[in-house]
Amino acid sequence: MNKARVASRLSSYFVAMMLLLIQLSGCSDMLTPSSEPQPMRIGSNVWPGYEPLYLARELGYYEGLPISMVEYPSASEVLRAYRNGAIQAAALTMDEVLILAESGLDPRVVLLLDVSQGGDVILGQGDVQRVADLKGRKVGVENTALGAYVLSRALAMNGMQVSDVTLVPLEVNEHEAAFKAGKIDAVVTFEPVRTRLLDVGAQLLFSSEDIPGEIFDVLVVEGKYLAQNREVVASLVQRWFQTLEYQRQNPQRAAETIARRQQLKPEDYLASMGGLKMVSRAENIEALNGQPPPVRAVMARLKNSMLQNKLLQKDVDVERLVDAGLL
Amino acid sequence: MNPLLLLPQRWLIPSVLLLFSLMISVVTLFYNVPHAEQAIEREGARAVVQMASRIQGTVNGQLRRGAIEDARTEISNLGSDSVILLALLIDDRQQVMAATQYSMITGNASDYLSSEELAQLEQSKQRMTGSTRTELGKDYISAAYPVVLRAEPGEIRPSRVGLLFFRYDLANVKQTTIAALKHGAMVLVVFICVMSVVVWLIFHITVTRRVARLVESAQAFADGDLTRRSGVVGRDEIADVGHAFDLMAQTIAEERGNLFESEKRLRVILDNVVDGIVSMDERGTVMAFNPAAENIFGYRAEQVIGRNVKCLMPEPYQSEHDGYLKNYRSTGERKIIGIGREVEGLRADGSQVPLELWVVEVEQDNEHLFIGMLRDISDRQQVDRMKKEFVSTVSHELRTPLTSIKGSLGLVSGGALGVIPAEAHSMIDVAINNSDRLMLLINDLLDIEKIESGKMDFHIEPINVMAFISDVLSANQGYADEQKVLFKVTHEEPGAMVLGDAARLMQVMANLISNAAKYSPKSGYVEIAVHRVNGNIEIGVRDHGPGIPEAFHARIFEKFAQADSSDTRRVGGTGLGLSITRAIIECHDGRIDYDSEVGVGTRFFFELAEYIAEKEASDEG
Repeated sequence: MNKARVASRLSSYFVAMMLLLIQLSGCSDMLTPSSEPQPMRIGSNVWPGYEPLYLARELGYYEGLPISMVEYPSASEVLRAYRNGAIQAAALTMDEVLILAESGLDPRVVLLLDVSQGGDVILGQGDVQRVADLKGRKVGVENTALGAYVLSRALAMNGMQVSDVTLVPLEVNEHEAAFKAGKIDAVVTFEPVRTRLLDVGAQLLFSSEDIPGEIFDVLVVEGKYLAQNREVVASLVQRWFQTLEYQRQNPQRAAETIARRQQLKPEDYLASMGGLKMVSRAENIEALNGQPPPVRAVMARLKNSMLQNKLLQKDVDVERLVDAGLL
Repeated sequence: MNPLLLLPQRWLIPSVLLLFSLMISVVTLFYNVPHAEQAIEREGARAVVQMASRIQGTVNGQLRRGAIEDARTEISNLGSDSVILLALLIDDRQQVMAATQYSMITGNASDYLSSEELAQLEQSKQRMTGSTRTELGKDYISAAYPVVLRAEPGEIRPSRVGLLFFRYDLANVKQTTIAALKHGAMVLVVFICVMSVVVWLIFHITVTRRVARLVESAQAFADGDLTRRSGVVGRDEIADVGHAFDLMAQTIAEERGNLFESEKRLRVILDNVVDGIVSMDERGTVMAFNPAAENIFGYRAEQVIGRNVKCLMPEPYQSEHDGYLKNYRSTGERKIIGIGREVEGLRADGSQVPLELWVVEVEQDNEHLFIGMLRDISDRQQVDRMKKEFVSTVSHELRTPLTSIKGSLGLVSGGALGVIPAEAHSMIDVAINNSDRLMLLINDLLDIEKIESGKMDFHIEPINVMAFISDVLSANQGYADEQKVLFKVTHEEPGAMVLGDAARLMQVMANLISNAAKYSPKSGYVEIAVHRVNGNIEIGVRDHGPGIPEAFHARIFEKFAQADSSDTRRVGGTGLGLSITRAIIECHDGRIDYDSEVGVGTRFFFELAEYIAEKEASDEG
């Protein structure tokens, strides 16, 4: 037998075995196909307008989708997590989205969730009856989130300066305790804290009804994640409207589920829903579609107001914030 | 051949194991180690993100409440974690607010950090985003996480941003992990090396030694030691092979014994048989020569075996024999095979010996063998010759006086000596009849003797068959009258001609007709028919007698044969007639046969080739 041929055959056996071994030990890397959707973690704080996201989870609407909800105590923490890349999507107010955009991040608004119609408030202790009474008083506010905007609008509308009040930075989860303990004279807060504090005799000084259309909640998705996983986000948008439909048809059952998370009685929850308005699919399409989309004008107004109140340090390009393609 | 079969298994399998261990070390060094390093970096980065964002949240809250000392404590605590090389809290002017090393507090971050790290800090501050970076060439991850500082007076949303900075060590983890990896691989390699030695040992004990024993036994067996057995014990495959071998050896040994016995018996028969038996191959080379053959030829077996068989033949057979064999090999035409015949053999002393020879051809393993059986017939020939001479002499010596007796009796009966009394006349008729019969007997005997010695002459000429038949009928009419039968020609072939000796054929017809007449009932017909059959002329003679008994069919053409020996006296005849008849017909290259049915009759017929001479035919026509 030809020795060279045998040698070549032996070496080919060897190479085959080597390849096999490498294949075996390396297969864990190779088995992950690039087409598999990446998980989408959605962060939010507690706010009635975000509840359909959790109701959908309870109803099992996310089954088969790589979607999970991450629950934070305050919007500031949601923002921090979003900035650190811990979550890929978040439910936020529009002013918060503008602040993210200001830092050079790439949040994309894919859905309007709700518009606040009284759900965001400034509440005072018994002796504080009006906004003007806040002069020289300690005001608890989540100044790294929506609270800064609400306070700035309330002060501006009453001709007051920021320096007229003493700011006590508190995140929303600290509001109830601080207010009840009397550590602060007023608090800039929102549902469900609003309902609970009104129950203990707080005075309503200011609410989002005073600035209609300025405070609205949106779902933002990180730009790169959205580009790579459009189907996942599109599914989420579908489930959102599906859940709204469910809620419309079964208001009582939905309320029972949601009230547990809000730590309210179902009837209180239903009452608290009076402070906001959910945005329907048709309204979403109307607001986000079109050339230019009507929501952009609202954003621009909001941006200018924030620039005036020094809530934004530099200009933000609102053009690229909207992605209406998933509706 | 499969290259895996080139190496003995006791080397192949340990080699594969060693190769395997080599591959494990190679894979460990060139694949697993870099892979593990990457995994550690990935895992480290994840751990850093978790830790940093947790601390970021805590410090954010502490700064919001103005609890700077709490933040310092938080940072200090990080110092207890061995993977944290450095943790700093820096304000918006790069002044260190808290650190794991107190000497750095109030110092400037740019004094302690590399320019890449400072750039990373700046970027994190701009985007308000935590970032991690693996320092190239250094085994740690640096992480920068922004924290919100207190709002300036007159400002709602705080614009001042500080930073948390960590250096997260990977070197230690990498070292331990890689050391563990290498150690694990080493243990595996050592283990496999030991395994390969053990496997080699197992093979040596269970396979190599036993296979060697099997091979040795098989060789000894092949060399003729039929009592040799492998004696391999155990229940594995090798033992199965060993048992199968032993069983085979046992069977072969027994069969060899049986064969030996059987051959011995055959040998005894061959050695003691009266006939000489000589076997040869296709070329005529003698292969066996039995003792009887030794006696016939005067050679000893070993003198003949291996030589060509023609040395046993006198000239001219000796020279012609090669031709026979060559001819047979190329054409398959047999010269002597299958028929017994008499030949001359050449003895060792040069004398010749008459032999009767039968040759049979056998095919063995695709080779043709010829076996010649020889019988010395010198004695028999001598006896035959003496017998013939005796018969001839006696016949001649008897005929001469018988002729005189017959002549004399004829004269007396014819009245040459005057009228004789009626009693004397009947006596003389008896004497004449018996001398006629004696004459016939002697003539038949002489004919037989002539035929057997090949001395009978034939005068071959064309014969017109129908004319010949009419001659036959008139010649035998007297006999028909005597036997009181009638002749009838039932079928004719006018113009049919054959070649033959008319006198001898007349003798044949006389024989057949007299037989038919003899066995016909009184006033019966003897029917003669001539037919053309396939270019031959068939002449048949039919009687309506008792037929030939079944038992006699086989012997009917033999000498001195009669169905019933008592017949001889009743119907007369020598019992030589049909034998002579057949000999004459065969000398004409013809064929004679008969049909017979007991109680119905017998038909004898013979066939001769039709003679067609066109010239003569046209002359006659």
